[in-house]
Amino acid sequence: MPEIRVSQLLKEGESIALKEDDQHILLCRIGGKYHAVSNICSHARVLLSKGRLRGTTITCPLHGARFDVTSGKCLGGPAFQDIASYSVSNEDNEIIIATEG
Amino acid sequence: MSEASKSSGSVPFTKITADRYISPDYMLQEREKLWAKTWLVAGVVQDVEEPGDFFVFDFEPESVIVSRAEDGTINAFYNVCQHRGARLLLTNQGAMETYTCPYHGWVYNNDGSLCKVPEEEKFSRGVPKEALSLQPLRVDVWGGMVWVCMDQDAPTLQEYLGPVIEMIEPFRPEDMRLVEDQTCRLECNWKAVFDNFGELYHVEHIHPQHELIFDCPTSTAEYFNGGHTRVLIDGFTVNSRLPIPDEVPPTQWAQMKTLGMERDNYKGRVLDVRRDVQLRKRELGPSLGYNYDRLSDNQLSDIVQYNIFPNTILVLQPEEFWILRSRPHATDPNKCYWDKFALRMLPDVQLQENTKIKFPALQNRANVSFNLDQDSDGTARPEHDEFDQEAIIAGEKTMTITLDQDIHLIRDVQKGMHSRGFKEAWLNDDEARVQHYHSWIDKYINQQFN
Repeated sequence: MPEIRVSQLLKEGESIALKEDDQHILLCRIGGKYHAVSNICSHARVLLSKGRLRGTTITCPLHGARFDVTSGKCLGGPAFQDIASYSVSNEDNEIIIATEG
Repeated sequence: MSEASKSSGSVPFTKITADRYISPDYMLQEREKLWAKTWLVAGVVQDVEEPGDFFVFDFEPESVIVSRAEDGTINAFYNVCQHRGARLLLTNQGAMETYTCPYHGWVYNNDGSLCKVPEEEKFSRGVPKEALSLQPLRVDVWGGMVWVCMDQDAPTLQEYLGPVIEMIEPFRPEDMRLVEDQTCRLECNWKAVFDNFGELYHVEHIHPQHELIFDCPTSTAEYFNGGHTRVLIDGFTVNSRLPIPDEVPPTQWAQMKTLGMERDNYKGRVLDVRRDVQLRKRELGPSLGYNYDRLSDNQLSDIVQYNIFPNTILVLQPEEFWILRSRPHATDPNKCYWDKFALRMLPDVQLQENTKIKFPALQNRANVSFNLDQDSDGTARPEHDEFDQEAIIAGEKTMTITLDQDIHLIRDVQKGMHSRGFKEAWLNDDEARVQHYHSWIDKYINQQFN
């Protein structure tokens, strides 16, 4: 299964944008756990990583669509489609994101 | 005779006819003379805690953005782009540095200033950025709530609320956290549902469960300048007009248990529960993490409700606070939005640790007020949930049993208002809060405040 390995550990509440081939991924650390979702807003194709994260919710910086980064669920705003969510595991100080390839 | 009826003599008589609930013309008058002149609860301060946080407050046809700018100030703006009048934000809350209009991409900072206009050189007459910034309205913060007012000449929020401020402050609503955020789309005028909370006359008829928690017949009402009212109701007791049960009712038992009270001790003396709950809360407050220092003994057991003119109800207990708010529909006087924000005092862990009395039976979340049965523990902000009244009637959603019972009924009141057979409301002394409220509606509509 295709995967992305990240050796950088995040601080609590931190999020980073990852790009591998054409895939944009947003990686966040919340409550000690890592979560990965698509970094592209389902409304206007903007990078969500430029938006602000509060709790488990990220707000798209352009029009304010909101997504739960633990599930990819769309919470409101002009968007109505969820974004992809990827499973994340931890291994020897490395974060492994299982992508769809 | 109850205190409520004694004090109603001072409330002026107002003819409450059906037109104020069903007439589109009356609705338009309210828009100009009422909504545009009063202070309104826009939302909770918790939703604009950090720079960049914002929420949108809709009271149709207006929409307002409340935001905390990068410098920490809280601002309120009309939610409309200054280019072509498009609604700027189409979301209800979030955190953003800038707001981009979905139509032509004008960008505003979260302090309301216009910062970017795409292809600005196309505006040969220029883009006066200051004049084209988001249009502000007055904003103030009190009681954990953000208030807005469209009228630059209206009194300050402090003046508008008057004595209510000092009365509510001991409850420390600003220290409570949101545990529930709901909106029910009702098929009634926004005042019809508000009126329902202006009297306890209906309680024995549609809320039978209250007989075993509250004593509504001995409630006391007060009427304030500005159209606000208050009602105090004894809690942890039973309806004194009905036979007193021998055993403590189950509705009180759940709370008493977490205060370490023995049910059997109150066999045959159910009316002693209220006083003992006050004593137990006073004694155990710190070990439960609750600071009751500023509250009177009665405030520890009872329930107090403020109807804040024109559309907000604040229900306070020491550990819990409800904001109920009625918002008008843009075009139809027969519809409204009915909001419930439930907030909870989170136990102060430091206070619990410092106290010498240990009470091992109690968990962090003692169930010591009437409605603390929500799932949320107040650590994460609940998502806003909006639904039609049918969802309540079908039992798919609940706003607590009491509000659900009101919702079942209120649509039929609105229907009756349309009948040729209905002329005007005929109110009794216990409905004087409704009377007082409508006398202030009249003052605004007639613009005569003397």
